[in-house]
Amino acid sequence: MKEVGVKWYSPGRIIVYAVLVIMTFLSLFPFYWMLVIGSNHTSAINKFPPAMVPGGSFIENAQKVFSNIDFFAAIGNSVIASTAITVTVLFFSSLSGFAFAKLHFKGRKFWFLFVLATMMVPAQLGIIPQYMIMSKLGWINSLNAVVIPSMVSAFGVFWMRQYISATIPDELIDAGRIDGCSNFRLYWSITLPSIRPALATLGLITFMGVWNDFLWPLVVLKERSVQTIQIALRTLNGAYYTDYAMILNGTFLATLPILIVFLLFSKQFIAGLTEGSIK
Amino acid sequence: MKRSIGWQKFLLLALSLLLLIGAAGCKAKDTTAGEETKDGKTKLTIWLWPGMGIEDQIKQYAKENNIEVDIQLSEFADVHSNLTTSLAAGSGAPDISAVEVKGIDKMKAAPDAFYNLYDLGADELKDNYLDWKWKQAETPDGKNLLGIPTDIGPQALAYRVDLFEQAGLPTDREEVAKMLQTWDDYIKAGEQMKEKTGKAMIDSPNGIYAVIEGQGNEKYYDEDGNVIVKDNPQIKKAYDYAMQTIEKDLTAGFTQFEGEWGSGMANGDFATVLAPAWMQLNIMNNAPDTKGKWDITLLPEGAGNWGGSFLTIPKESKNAEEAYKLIKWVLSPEQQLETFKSKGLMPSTPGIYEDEAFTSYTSEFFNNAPTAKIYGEAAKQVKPIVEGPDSIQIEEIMGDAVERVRDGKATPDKSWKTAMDQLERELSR
Amino acid sequence: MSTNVGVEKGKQSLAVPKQKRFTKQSTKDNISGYLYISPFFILFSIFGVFPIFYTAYISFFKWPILGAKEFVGIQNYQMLFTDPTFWKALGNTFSIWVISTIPQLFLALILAVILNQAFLKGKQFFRLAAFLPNITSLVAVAIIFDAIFGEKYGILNYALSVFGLDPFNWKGSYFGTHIAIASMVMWRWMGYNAIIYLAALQSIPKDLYEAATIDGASKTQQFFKITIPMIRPMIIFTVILSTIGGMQIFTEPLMFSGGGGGPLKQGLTLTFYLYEEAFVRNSFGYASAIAWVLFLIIILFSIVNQFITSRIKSAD
Repeated sequence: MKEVGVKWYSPGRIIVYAVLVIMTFLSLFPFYWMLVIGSNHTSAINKFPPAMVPGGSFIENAQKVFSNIDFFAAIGNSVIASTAITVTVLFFSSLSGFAFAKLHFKGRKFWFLFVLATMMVPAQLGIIPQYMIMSKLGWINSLNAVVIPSMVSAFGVFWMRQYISATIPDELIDAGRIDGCSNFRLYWSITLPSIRPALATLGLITFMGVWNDFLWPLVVLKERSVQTIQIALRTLNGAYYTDYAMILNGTFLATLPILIVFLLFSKQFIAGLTEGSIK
Repeated sequence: MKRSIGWQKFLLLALSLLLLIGAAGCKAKDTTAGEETKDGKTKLTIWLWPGMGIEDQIKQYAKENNIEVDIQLSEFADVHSNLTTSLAAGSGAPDISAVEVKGIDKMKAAPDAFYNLYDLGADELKDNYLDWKWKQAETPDGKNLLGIPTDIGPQALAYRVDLFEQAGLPTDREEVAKMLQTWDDYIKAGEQMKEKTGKAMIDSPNGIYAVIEGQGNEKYYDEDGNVIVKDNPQIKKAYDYAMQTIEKDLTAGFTQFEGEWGSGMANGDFATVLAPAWMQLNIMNNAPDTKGKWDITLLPEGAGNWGGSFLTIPKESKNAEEAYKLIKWVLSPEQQLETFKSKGLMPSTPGIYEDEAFTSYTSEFFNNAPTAKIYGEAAKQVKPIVEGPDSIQIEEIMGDAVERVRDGKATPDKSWKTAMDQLERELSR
Repeated sequence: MSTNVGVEKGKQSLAVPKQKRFTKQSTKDNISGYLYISPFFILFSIFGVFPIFYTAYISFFKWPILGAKEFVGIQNYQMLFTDPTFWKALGNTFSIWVISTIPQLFLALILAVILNQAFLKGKQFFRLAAFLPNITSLVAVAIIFDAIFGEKYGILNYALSVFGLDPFNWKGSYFGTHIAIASMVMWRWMGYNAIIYLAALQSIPKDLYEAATIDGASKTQQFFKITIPMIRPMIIFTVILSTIGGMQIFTEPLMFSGGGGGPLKQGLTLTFYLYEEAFVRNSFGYASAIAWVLFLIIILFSIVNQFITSRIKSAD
């Protein structure tokens, strides 16, 4: 859309860029600071003013991380869990969301509210009963215990339902029906291609959520070989003394893979939002 | 719509891949307690947290005795919450689990969840260990023993030699100990410190509170398990001294282990830290530039203890005998000496405090003080104290009471009253 | 081929003519509808139902986790309503929720609109930057916020001193703690919500704006008459989620205030309180009662929310 008469240096635009630059700074700073502390000695945090430039101990700290935890195996477990959950969540949530938004089955309002209500249960208390279930199933120390209960999320269903009802006009569905499409084809061939931005966003959010989750995994994953990266990183905390430089170094290294994934897919993910618009 | 096909294909591919993974079966590793491996070897699952320093000895023992061990390290707090979860759910507990002193008080509420080590013959070991430490793992009636002691956290006084000098106070560790016979002496020295250097004497009023309350014969509970906080003069005394440090502005007002506390330490904002043995590590790492400026001596009016752990055997274990044998060996005086030599952890077996390797140890960081010897002396001064199931809760309530005054949110009297009310309410449910 | 041109919500039965060879559309919708939503309900019935009922059951017991359960009827609930700590936690939760959510969603919407501007250079980069806080590890975040809000060496107090103001004890007061926690929440979730809004903004047909511009509508008018109504489902989505998330806020106060929520309990939120009761004090029955009350509060709140957001819509 061309805006006639607005020059690049108009006050409005300058404000916009200023806001964005400030936002970028605030977003990037903690990330940068992880690198700073992760490459210094822990005491760098205690200086005042604190250290602001990376130091020379990055390799040394990284070696400490690698010798304390099985870093790459843990990253591997995280990749498996995050990918598995993301893919299934995308599929099942969009399918449910489509049903809730576009299929007029009996009691759909009720079931939808039911889905919403499940989100309101505080997770902390479920730990003990859930643990009982997992141990009955024999899934303690198995990634199953992390992946299977999360294969579809209330959040995802809710998000997809809202998005589909906002963006897919009923006429499009009706037209599809006239052409003889089955319900599944309406979902697969008409809805799915049109909700790419929503899939991208949900995929991103889900992947990051699983990657950073620790409350539940740390209860069920005690065996070293099945631990995800966040759980492994927690074992870097000593009981008596916390080596922040080593921990932040490990945290920085653990964020790198998702940052790379994020950057690689950002064309599809976030940039895809623009091209993905249906009209 | 053409572009979208890529997406669908991707989804399909990923889904089928997933099914494959599922079919291959992420099989659970069976690591619950009491397993035997295929060749009939006993297998022990052991939960520890990082830094306990006994992994190598456990492996050595396993090798020599032809058993298999699976050491599972989790973060300190996680070991405790995982153990609680497993015990409550009734499955998944290991053969051996480390439990810290505060955790053991909670576990004592359910002695049935653990093997009574007296039944396994722990009586014979009793004399090897510090009496007060041993009692911490005993139920109040003295019939059950839940764990065998690992390390301990006796307290001493870490002080800044340079600041003491500036304030015109003695700097030699013997003389400092002689000067600081009582807590009144300590307050007096603190006032001199403030006047001459403008620096605070202590990092946090909670530090002095916690030490003094542990120096009496009784703390929160009497021998019969009644809560006596309100009437125990020792608690009142501890509270009053903490209030004095605040009123006379002798405290730097930090909260221990928060980020700023480290900064204050590095900057020399306070002249003393009432430090358990393991706190040396914190000082050395938080303020590496202060090397040689610190020294260590004994506390006024006796020592105290902060921290230290035990090894326990949960009831689920099917190999309790084997587990007990392993614990007995790994925590024997000889092996604790090894752990001290390699990892610097303070042993709970006083017999070795006379050992040459122990007494000759000096710390360069702390002005070449014979730290092991000093902490050994402190360890012998610690009095056995009865703790109860709500000790952690009470400790938190009392600590908050001190902090409220520190932050200027309440007068000493009002804060004390708030704490007593809270105590009564919380313990009644 | 079944002709169901006239399918409208609730009117299918009238519109679908009888056909022998094909199942009625409504039957098909019923079958596939339930089939498509079944994965959620299957998983939920396996992993979700039991914990909920178990919690309800336990809330009538006194259970010190490791010891024996003792039936106490509604005593836990009675204690709860006379427990000042509970009311304090409730107050803290609301206070933190209000000061974090309302400005957050508002700013997120503005940010989304900015990121959606056609003239913007480096869109991809800025969008990435907006989302970055959400993937940054909480460990790092905790350490940094500690450094910002410290009383003696905090960056914020340093900045205040430059303007000649006295240092403020952020951690030791209600106000300071709530502000700090709210800013942590805003920092982590604002970009996230902006990205959600952005996805919705992208779906608005551009010709709507073009037509409006031709009709002489100003940017502001377009924003309120086109943008807001078009992304309304997404606004409801974020409001509901922020409410649920805000009522269950846990990690941030735990990291900022530490165990117990601070000396005044100024950082103690409801979920934090229930966590402490369950896993620090081992009173699982009492914690279960808190969980159920919290659950009811969230439901109540979501209904109120729904009511307010629907009023916004009917206003235009």
